[in-house]
Amino acid sequence: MGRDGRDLTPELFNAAGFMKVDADYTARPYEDWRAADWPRTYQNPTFPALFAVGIAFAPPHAISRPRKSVTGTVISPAPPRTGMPSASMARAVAESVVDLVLGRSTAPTREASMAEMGAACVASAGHGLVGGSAAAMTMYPIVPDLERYPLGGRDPKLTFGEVGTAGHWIKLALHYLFLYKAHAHPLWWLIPE
Amino acid sequence: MPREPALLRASGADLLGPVPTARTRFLRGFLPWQLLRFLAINLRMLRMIRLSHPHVRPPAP
Repeated sequence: MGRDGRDLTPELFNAAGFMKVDADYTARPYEDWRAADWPRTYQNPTFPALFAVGIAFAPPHAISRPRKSVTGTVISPAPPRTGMPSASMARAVAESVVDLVLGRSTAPTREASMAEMGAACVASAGHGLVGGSAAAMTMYPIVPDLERYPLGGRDPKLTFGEVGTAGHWIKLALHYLFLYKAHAHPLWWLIPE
Repeated sequence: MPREPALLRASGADLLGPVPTARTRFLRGFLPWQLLRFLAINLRMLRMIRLSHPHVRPPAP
């Protein structure tokens, strides 16, 4: 509710309860979806003091063509918005908020569009430095951009997956790196999200 | 009795997935090769992270 008693829900949230940000929410068919529809600053256009990142913001649409199962269930894949992408968005928003609070700018100063950022995932499939295994995968960009990458929407060199002991070593290294970063030990900020 | 919709079956000979060859399975655990793959995957991830870095906008007055 606003101060005047008005219900602000439609201005703040979409039907699913996610917060609207600086995305283009115009309803369009799949053929007209563009990477530029995706938010860049994660600021609510009506209430500039409000930002939403990760699973909190409302995506403008799915990231691949919606399908239907044989029983009629709509299959509309949303992008992964947890983990690495949410940390990248959060960092951008935090730095924007710092600039806004300190009066360095009257608008957000950082952009982190999911159509211009990648994501990595390492899924364990066995432990042990010698016999361990994991699936390591990356994709870039998260939201397909068919204008930049007409063949599938993603960079084929940076979108890959591989199973092996090397994946386990990467998982182990990330484990210690993220704990180091969480403790804010010296030079923690050099470790990416 | 109604037939089960074909797309709901979880397994079956009609579902073809990529199967690793014996050579691929061997290399997944062959440590000298995995050391090279460790370096290659890390380089790719670093390149992806560099491209994903947030863009800085000029401050608005």
